[in-house]
Amino acid sequence: MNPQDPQKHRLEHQQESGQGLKGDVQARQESLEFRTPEELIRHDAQQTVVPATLRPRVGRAIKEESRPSKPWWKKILG
Amino acid sequence: MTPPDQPVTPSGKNNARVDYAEPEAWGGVFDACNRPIYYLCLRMLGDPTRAEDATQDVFVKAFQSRKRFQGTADIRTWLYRIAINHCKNLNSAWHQRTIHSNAVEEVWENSVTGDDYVYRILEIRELGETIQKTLDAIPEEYRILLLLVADEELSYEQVAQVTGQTVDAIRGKLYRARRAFAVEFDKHQ
Repeated sequence: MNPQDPQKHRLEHQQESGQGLKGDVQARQESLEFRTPEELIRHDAQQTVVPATLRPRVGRAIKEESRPSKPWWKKILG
Repeated sequence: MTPPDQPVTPSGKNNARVDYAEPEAWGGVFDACNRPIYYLCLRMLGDPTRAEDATQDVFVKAFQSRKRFQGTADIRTWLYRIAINHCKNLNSAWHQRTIHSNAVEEVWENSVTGDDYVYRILEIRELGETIQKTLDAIPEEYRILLLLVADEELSYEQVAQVTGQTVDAIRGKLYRARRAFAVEFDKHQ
């Protein structure tokens, strides 16, 4: 998946800053806008973290699968 | 599997250069495709633990049947097909399918929430949950379609290939899927 083009959705920054002294608390609200469900889903997919445990799990499972299977007589006799 | 920095990662477009018979090649396959496959499983199953198990199953199933993969198709579309079938099987084993009546379809079709609908998201933290509830509320066919079309790496032709439909059918269903999603998203937001 290509990284989502940030231009594709509009990121609105609404900033309200207090008048007066420097360092006044700024209340900031962000909202994201998407035109289609696909854009919304794409954004969600990019935010979703794949569990770090998955890669070693799949690696182990594939390694296990790639081992040559025991001949039938070895399975019986051990 | 090979570590992520090994240059064997297939993008799905250079299948001829990757020998899928070799277990070592699957590190690259995993790195290239784990995110879209995990996300599809997550949104089809609605549970991170089940999605993790299902993603592992998908890669193992693909590895087991690697001899049937000729490299003529895109590895990504092939994995998607395995993932969709696997999740459908898991879902049918866990609970009955949601049946949507014609009346519900009509509500989606005639709703004012049409093509001009804009998704305004203020609460990012709950976005995943809202998307999950919305996807759960629409027919499985629409859910799969939206999840596939959301993957920018897939063309409409590839989506058609994965779902076994024509491109025209995909376009028509996508229109209805978008309307259904918009109406349900409005309810769950």
